[in-house]
Amino acid sequence: MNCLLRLERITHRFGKVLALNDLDLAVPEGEIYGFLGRNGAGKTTTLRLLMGLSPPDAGRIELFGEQVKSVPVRLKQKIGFVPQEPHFYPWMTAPQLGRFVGDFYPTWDAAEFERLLRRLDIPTDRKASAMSGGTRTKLSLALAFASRPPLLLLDEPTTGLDPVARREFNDQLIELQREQGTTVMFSSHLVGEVEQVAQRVGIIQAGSTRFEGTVRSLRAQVRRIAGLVQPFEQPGWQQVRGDVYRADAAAWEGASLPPGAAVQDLSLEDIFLAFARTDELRAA
Amino acid sequence: MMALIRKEWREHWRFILVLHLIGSVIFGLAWVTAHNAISQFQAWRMQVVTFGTLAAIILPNRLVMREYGLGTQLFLEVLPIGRGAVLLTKWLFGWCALMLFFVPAFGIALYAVRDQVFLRADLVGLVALRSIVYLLFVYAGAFAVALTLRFRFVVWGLLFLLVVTLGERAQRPPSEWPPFLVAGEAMALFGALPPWPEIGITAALALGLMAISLALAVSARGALAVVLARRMSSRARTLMAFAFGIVGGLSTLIERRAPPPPFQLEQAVASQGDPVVKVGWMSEVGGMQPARLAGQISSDLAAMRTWLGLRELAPVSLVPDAWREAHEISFGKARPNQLLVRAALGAPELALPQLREMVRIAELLDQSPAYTWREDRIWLLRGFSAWWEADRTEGYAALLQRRAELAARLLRAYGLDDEAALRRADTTDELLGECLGSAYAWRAVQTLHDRLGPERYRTLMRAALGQPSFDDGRSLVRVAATADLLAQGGLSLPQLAQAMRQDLGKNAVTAPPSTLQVQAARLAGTSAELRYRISGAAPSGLTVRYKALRPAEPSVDPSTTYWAGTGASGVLPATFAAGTRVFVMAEAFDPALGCRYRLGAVRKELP
Repeated sequence: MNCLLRLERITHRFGKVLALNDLDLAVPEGEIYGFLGRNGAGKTTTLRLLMGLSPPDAGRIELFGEQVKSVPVRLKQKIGFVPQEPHFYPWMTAPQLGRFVGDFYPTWDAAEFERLLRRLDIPTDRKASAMSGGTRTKLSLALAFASRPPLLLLDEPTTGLDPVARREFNDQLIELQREQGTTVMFSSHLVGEVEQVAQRVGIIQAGSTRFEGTVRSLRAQVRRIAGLVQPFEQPGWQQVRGDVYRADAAAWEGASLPPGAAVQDLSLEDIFLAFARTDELRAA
Repeated sequence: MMALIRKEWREHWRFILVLHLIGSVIFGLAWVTAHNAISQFQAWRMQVVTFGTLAAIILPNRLVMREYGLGTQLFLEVLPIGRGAVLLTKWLFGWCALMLFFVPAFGIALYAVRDQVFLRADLVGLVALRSIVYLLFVYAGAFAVALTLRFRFVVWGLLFLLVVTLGERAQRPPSEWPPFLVAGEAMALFGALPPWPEIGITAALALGLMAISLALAVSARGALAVVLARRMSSRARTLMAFAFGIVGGLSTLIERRAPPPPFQLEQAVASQGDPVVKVGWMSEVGGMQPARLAGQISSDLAAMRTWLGLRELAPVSLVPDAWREAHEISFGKARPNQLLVRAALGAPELALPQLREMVRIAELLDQSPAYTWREDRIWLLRGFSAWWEADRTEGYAALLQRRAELAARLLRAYGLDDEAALRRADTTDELLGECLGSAYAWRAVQTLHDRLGPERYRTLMRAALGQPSFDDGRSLVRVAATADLLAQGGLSLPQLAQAMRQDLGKNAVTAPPSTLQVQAARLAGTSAELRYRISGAAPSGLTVRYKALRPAEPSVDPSTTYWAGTGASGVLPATFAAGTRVFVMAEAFDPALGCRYRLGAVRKELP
């Protein structure tokens, strides 16, 4: 599996607060990677590290097969970034922003940007200060895609959007990714959104990766055993929380369950909740 | 980088335009204010100190706060460009916007004073350097302060408190601190010695402040700036106000600087009349009793005041200085409103006419508008003082005439015609020294008197040295150049020069005067020696003196020069590195002239 970015044992602190703790993740080329975690889990910190906005205290960052300590400008030119809240110059219109941003990217495609403005229905005569939150997010996406980056990082881009706008944004993202073959890392705390968009997910809890793999493998591995009287203890099985367990898909098939117990599939949301609540218990 | 520059321009051009318009208005006002100053070029200094300071503070504040206050630096951070490049672009953009005003303004200022001041390239460069270094310091400081973001007003407040406190209490007032001294009163005076150490310190401070700006913007990968950009809480504001109160209160505990005591002569004889003249010597001065001398000078000054229509004249004290040569007479001002004329009062060779001339010059410079100091006018003032003396002292005119004739011959030998010699008083004075220079100025004024007649002469002198009249609106903006004043008075500068040539040529001496010639001779490596030679017959009492000049050193005080020899030719007793500028002068004594006179001065740059 060829990965465009890889983080290994990344640690990062804000003063006494441990934001990232031995975090590992790898994003394969050409896929949409859903980076799932609760608020404060460390998603934005991870993306800031990848954009070179903060240095890690420990660990290894590999971008485009190159190990880096801080992200140099030439690599940054290959990364598109859609922030949670775009801080555009309020007096600039979308075309002006395009001209401004385009000067920093050698691969900037002005025609593509114009096409994206039309396609995403972004007004060209309105200043950024007069745009709605949704329009600004779409503009941010257009700016990111118009530079035709091999890697696109999105930091909870749909936060603050209504469900319709969110759906629309995600659809556009999927389509654009298919068209350009861009590798996308998409952080969110909205499970449904990640399920809709991502082929592969990473679940981050308290600064550590709890799971990484395809959505299908996640759902195949994490299931509920209904009707358990006492905890199910068997080598290779891991109790996530309560009656939710994690094991290889093959282990689930060959498992000899106690009498009366039955295996139930879980939605991604249930799986995420199970991970999240386990951490809550640990913290308590 | 170009995208950032375009962005900055689009974002700030209106603000810059308004700032430049305000600057133009202030420049106009400075021009009017400085119209009767010692040099109208003072308007340039006013512009640098007032608008320059204002703009250099406001501009970086605007550039930084618009970016960090709106949080748009977060947008820039995710673009492929370094934080250092962003800051550098912003810094340079602001500086260029500042220079966009000051560079043309400097050109305009130079153009406007071109007929009042002899614009030597090195001295113009020096004013430009001082202006740039001062503006750079303020701009770099304001940029660094702006980058403290929510603490910027706190920092400005503390700086203000510091300057006010130290201004009242420090042994060395702020006007003498390097940055303020660089833009001090003497900045726009071409004759002032450049304060090189202060210029260096100010430039170093500016570079340090630039480094601080960079550190504030990029430290912790910009995280510090993000933290600083957050709004201050009301609790923090209260704390700051409280801290200010304490610091302000503590500053009052430092003892105020005591003003220097007023000057007082220990023993003196005072005149009865107005202005009061005190002589601080109890025995004869130049063969005259001190009480008589004091009374004579007082009545003489009173007569001159009436003749020129001047206001009250300041009291004068003649201060003895036994360490001086008899011909070394200087003047200054002491608190409160008192003129001091310092001379070797006990020396038997002290010439009273020269002493009285100097007292008159001191009073005229004190009472006449400051523009009488200007290079194109100073000869008129000195010449008038000598004329007044010659008009009242028997035989003095004949002595001055002899001196003036030699002065004219020397000027011609050095290739300076009479018109240029009058326009470029600083050059003439350096070449001729005090004795001949003063006599040459007298000759010019005497010629004016002879050609114009007593009434027109008096009118001209009142216009040149007396209080300005406001019958012409233009006089509020610009003082007439001396050449214009002479033309209005009835004798233009070229006519005056021609008349002087006739007056000085009556007793023409065909033989050229002895002049000083200096040549550099290369030694081993990059060092060189200077050889001098006096052409023609060596005059009696010849002394050659020299001084290695500091960069852009203007007029040279003879007392700071070193003895080099007394022969008609020789080598200076020192070797010099390539690029050194050396001042060499030759003096001689002629009993017929009654003074030590200079037969030439040369500035030589070693190759």
